Amino acid sequence: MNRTQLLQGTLDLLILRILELGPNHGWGISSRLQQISQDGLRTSQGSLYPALHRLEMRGEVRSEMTTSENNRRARVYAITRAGRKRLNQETETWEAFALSMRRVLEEGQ
Amino acid sequence: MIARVFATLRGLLRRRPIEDEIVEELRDHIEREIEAHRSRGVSAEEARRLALRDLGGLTQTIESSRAVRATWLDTVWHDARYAVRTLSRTPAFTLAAVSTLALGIGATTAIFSVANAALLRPLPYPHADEIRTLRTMFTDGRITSGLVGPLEMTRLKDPSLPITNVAMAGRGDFTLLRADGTPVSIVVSGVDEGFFPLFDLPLAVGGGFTPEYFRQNGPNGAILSYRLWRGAFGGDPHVVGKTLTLTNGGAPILGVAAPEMDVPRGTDAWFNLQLDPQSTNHGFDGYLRLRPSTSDSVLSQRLAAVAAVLGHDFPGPEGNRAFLVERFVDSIVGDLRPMLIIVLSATALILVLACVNVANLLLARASRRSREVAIRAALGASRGRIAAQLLTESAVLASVGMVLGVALAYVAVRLLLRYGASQLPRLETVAFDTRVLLFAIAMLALCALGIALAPVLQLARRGVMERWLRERGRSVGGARSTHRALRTMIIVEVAVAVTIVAGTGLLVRSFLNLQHDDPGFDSHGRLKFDLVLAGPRYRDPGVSRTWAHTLFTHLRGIHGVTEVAGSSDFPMGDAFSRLLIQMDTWDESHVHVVARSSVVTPSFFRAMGMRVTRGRGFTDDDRATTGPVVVVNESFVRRYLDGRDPLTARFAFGFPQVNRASQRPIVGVVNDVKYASLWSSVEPVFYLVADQAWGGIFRLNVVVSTEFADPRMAIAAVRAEVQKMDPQLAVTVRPVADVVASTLTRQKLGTTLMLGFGAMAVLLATIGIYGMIAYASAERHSEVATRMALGATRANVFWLLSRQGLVVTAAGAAIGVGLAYGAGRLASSWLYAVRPFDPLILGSALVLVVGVTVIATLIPVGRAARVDPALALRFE
Repeated sequence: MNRTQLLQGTLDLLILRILELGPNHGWGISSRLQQISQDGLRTSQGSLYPALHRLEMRGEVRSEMTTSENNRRARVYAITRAGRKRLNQETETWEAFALSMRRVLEEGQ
Repeated sequence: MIARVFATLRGLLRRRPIEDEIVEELRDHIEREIEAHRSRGVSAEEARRLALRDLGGLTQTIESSRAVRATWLDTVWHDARYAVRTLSRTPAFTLAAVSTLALGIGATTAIFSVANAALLRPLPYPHADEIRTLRTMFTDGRITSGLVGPLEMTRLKDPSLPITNVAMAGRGDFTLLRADGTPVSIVVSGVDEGFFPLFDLPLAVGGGFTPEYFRQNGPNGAILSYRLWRGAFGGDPHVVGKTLTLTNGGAPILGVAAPEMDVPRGTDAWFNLQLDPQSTNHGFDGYLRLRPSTSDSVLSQRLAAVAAVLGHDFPGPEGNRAFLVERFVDSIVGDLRPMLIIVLSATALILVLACVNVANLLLARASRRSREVAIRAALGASRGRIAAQLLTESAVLASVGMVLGVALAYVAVRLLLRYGASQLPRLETVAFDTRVLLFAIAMLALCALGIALAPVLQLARRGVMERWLRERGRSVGGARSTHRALRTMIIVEVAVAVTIVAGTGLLVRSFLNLQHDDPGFDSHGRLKFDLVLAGPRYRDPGVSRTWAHTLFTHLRGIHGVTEVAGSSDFPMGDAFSRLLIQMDTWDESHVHVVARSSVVTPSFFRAMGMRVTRGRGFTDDDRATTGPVVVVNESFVRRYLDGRDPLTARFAFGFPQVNRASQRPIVGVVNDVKYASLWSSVEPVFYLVADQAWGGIFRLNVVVSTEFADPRMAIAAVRAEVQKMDPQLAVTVRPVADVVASTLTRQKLGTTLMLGFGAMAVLLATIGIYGMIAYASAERHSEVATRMALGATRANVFWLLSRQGLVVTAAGAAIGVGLAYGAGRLASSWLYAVRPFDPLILGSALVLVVGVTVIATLIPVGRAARVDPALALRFE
């Protein structure tokens, strides 16, 4: 598992987690990302959109152009059933991974 | 998985391009980000800067989003639009490339559609490749007509044989009486039950023969040819049930054959034959249809077995007989494969030339566009992506070229039809069928791949992009690999051009040989026309003979006419009747020996310019009342007299049995005349003089020999004399030379096409080489300027620039000569009396191509050498 893949997987997971709370547009997801991770996990906003589009191509999120407040057109993303399934799976995997990492690190101390 | 498919489909169905949506989404993001910054009190300008910074590279984000969303179709569409944009920015380049491709594809498609109709599908019958003609021969050296008999065909109907159909036909000349009593000379063929099913063309009108027509004492009927129906019956839709009236009988009309039906060749009406299936009378042309996917060698083995059984059962007429089969198409149009192969290879080579030219243009452009490509690579475009882009660009070029090319081909074919439709039997069926369109599409694919190949290969070379970047378009020597590619292409162009031009030369030479070949008679200054004397006023034999004699006397009186004669048949007409013969020294085992016979008036040999090589020709003293005599040709002597002095021999003839009473001495030998066509072999022929053969005269081929170089001058006078004798007789008078030339139409077409190819090849090679040298010289602009600033003379520079071009031309010419020699060797067995290494042809081809190439080299070099060094260096 190389670094990009790890990061990408993490980003997907975070996006799905945010969308689980409710549909949102790109900028909304981006600012939620920064809040959730308390600026600790800084992701480039540039990589957010390719990730969103990739998730959409996989069918894990779907999107719709909407006309929102003050007549602004925005693309709103929502999680799909496939997305929820992946989120659950990945959360388990991630927790298992985090657990084993912690064990390794604690043992090393 | 399904969700993914739907996402893709949604993507495809979306009308707006992906980029627009992504841009819109990002704009929304940036606006919101700016607002968020502004609400924290950041200045408008700073907020904008921060928003853009946080997003990272805008272009990169768009591109990577696009890469995620885009399907291959989007990519192609994107590339195609990009290609159209770039191409429209360089109109001169695009025009040159597209017009070269259009010419290349247009010419090849036009030629292919003609070849398709005239050469590839020369026969209109369904699955014509299964049809064979059937002949017989004696294996013990006895001589036979080669015709087949009913008994043999009965045996071949055995279902265990790999044969689906067998048929017989016998041909004869008859005179049709029209409703108003005017006579028309027609060819009638008697056919058996298997005949129409074998050729498998539906009748145009009516139902045709039913089985009872072929039973002994069954009814009689006739099927008209489409031509006769349109001509003599005016295309009457109610013709079925009317009567076809001949001077010697008639039959009810049962139907009209398909327009394409033409077996045996020239038949105007088919009658039903009622044959005894056990008859051994060998009097018919045989045909069979091979069971699909059976090889000819299997057929030959099975036929040999049948022949052995027949020989055992009927040792007299069938003993030691063998079957011979030939592909029907070969027997009708001769072997056209050589012509086809030559023409199609030339087509392929022309296309190579066109592609090389366009590839050149692209290559030259690619090296000018090196900066663009390098920048795109630096921005993260993968090599595959750039290659796909280049390929798309070439595909766009090739598509436009194909559309224009097919339009061009259409126009060219229309023109060709106007010019040559009457010359070539099957040309009227030239059509843009699926095969032609498939061909054009294949050409498109080949061109697109061919022209993209060079730039893409260059791209694939490691380090090329880095070098492009480093050179930054400023170069002294130009990209080395580009120059190597250009050199290779000049070599290819020159070699291909030499090959095509030399091939054209060989074909033209072959055609000229054929045309100037001695047919055994002199066609110069001679006219010919058909005369049919069958109205009520000619019913008395004496009247018709006196009439013909008077006409000849009048014709001889025309100024410039030197001789007039008549004959029952005419060379190049293939209408000689076949009679059985019996030599005075032969025993009874020589059965069914056949020779062609022709009845002539006494002055015929003189009027035709034929030579009497032994004895004498006919004279006016050979009359009905004097002892009957016969004149034979040299082939007759070689084949039937076995070294005997012909002037001591006598023979009898007849049909269907030899008439013993007809025995007469040979008084002279004349030279051989080619009958069916110029390349056909000569056959044994014997000539009888009219007064000793005919009672009255029905049909006569009249030949008028004149002292004019162009005998057409006498046509009006000849026609007037005939009209004076009988105002109702309208005759078509043609120069004999035209009659001969009409047998060469296919060869002429092939040769004309090749001449077009040759011109095209020289033109394309010239344009290509001119372009390449001009490009290479322009690339070395600064080098030339530097050299000249350092004191090089104009002559030095001229030599420097042209040397490379000349060396490369020489290399191409050498390879071309080798290729032409090889191609000539392959083709020489197909060509008529042509040597593969004809120094004159190869030399001319070489001089022509190299000459043109050198001029195409020197003009741009001369221009480059006139450069003003100061100006050039400043420009750089």
